[in-house]
Amino acid sequence: METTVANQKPHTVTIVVHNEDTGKSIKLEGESTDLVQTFINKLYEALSTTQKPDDRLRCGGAQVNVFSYANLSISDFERNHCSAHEWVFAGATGGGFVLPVPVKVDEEVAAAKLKEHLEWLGRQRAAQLGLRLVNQDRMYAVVRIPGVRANSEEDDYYVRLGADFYDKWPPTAAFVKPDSWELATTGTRWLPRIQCQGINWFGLHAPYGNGNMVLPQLLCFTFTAEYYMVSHAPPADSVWRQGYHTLAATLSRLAEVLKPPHYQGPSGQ
Amino acid sequence: MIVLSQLIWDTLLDEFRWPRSAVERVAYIDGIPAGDLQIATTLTIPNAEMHPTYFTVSADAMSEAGKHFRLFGMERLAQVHTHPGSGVKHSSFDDENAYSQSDGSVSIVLPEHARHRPDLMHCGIHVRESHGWRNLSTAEIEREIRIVPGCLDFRRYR
Repeated sequence: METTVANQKPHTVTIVVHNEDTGKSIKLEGESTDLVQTFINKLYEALSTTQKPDDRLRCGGAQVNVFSYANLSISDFERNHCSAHEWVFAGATGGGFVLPVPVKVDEEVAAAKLKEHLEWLGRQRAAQLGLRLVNQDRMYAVVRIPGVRANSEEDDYYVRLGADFYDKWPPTAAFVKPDSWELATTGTRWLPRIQCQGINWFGLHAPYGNGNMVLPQLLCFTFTAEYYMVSHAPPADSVWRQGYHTLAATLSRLAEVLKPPHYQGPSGQ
Repeated sequence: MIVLSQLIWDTLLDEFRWPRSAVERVAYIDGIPAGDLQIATTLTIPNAEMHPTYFTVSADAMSEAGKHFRLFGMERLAQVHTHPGSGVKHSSFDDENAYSQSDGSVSIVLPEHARHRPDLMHCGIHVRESHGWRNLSTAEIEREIRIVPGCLDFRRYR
């Protein structure tokens, strides 16, 4: 069903997005062959902002979650999921002073905590998730996490956890190349493509840029230190709590998004 | 220019007495656009998460607090929130997480969680411009927001 668009003559599609944050409407235009993601990108361009994990974009009376179908053509989306040409947007907002920005902690304490908490990788739960410690240093560790495709095939990924802020804040976390532990970049085998389906707490940005803040990679969820280096408005119950959360939470969440239906394969070859 | 009834401002200050705890409060002033004027009609208080130094409003809560727009042909005219101390400047968190980043959007910051019922001149009034948010001067505030009486009672009997 989702390939029939190839046989049709492209035509212009107009979507009107009603913004429940402001009461204003935004008109989006594109070709019927364009991906839903193209329309989403145009929306955020019009809003002069970037997508936050908690944002809502719904189509029609059934309130179909548009973000879940970002990889479909708009034509297939309309045919198979929601034919309404009106979408409704609402974004998470906030204000006040920023959550405390991570500050480097005492190295001896951080190294001890990292070592202690890495022992979790020897437990059954970590094995069930396919997690394996492949490199350990005083202030960082590299963990193999499998990316599991819908057909059960697995791709290896390597995440480097850093202890600079640990465990007052979460570990720093980034996908790295297996030969050098350098940061993986978009369009390469070592950075996954993740399209969250039905969850809104994770985003992967490589690179991330917003105003003066530029990060080569941002694993955007509340269990990485980098998350707190950028202005966010997380629900209180998802904020990292020292003494309660450990790197096990970081790794478990990453293992979750590297499984179906979220994991879409490597971002390149 | 936003035309704002004193009744709405007073209602806002009344509502900001709650909760008793020292957390940041947030509300929105909504109304009807009428050419160069924007007529404030409605105070909307979202189901926000309020903390001592910040607040958040989830997308679901924003949606709930924005359902009336289409029904009544209304728009959001301003966001109002409080800071714990006397400072009413926008923080970077305020800048990046305000209800809108469109030019002309208005954000009002009240000092000390509005405990002393400030008037507009004692608040920070910020307007979004192409390069970012800008704090208005006193003269500019008068041009941006006009407070009008909400109730005039001339009865001489009691």
